[in-house]
Amino acid sequence: MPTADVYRGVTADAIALAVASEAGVQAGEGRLASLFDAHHLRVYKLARRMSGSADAARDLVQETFLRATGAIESVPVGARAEEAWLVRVLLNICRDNWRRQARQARLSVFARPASSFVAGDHETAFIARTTVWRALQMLHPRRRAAIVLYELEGAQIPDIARLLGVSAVTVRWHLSRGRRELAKLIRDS
Amino acid sequence: MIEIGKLLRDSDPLANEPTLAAADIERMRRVAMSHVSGPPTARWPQPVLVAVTIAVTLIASIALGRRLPPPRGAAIGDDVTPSQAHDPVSPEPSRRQLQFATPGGTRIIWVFNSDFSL
Repeated sequence: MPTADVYRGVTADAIALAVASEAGVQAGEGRLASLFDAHHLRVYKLARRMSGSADAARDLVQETFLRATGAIESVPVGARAEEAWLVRVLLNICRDNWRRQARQARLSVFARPASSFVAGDHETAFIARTTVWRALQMLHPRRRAAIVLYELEGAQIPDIARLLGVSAVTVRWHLSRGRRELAKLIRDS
Repeated sequence: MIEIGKLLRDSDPLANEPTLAAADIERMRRVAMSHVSGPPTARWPQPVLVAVTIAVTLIASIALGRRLPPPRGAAIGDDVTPSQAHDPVSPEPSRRQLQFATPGGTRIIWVFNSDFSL
């Protein structure tokens, strides 16, 4: 028959475990809060340029930070390392979405009649912008990210390599191939 | 020639759109924070499962090993060409011989005496 001391010991252990768990939750919340506050705008800008709409971009940002929530201990310390980690998570989500979409659904966008790029015409300018961005959606997310980071954010190749977790040579290759693919898609549309 | 960079910059959606609204930021922050849980507890069953798997494998191997008959034939070296392997020349059941010849032609005969003890 367990003695009172045994019960006390078990209770003390349970309380200690609960306290430690609560402390862990609070630490995780603090870490996530600082991560979100520091990087949510940066993640959104990249997500918006990677996706076709503001709604899709907001979903990407939400999903990125939800994944960070589930793996908060894996997030490295330091602003640059955190940024690179979040960018890679974002790209992984984009890649998963990209794979899920049927190739036929993507190609059907370009079955529409071709439009001309006439300056000064708001409608055709809108079509031109849509065409360019839809062509961008056809690229593999990593290649798309390299193009976006270089052409739109003005990032240098070493920084792009750090964010994407690849070598500078790979970044240059993605940029070269990406530009050729985009040009072909836009020309064919 | 299509100037990809210029096309992209002219079509940049962020050039004409506002960034995230404060309400959207607050909502996303709240959703993320609501999913925070404590540090993962030690998954104690996993090491136990690994230990049990190893133990079961060992026991099964020992049991299977005891059921199988002992291997027949003596070991033969890699650098010799056996002329007669496991050939019991002697008629006596307690004495067995193993004869083989080396590449140089030297004939070697091993006689196994079951009565021999150190």
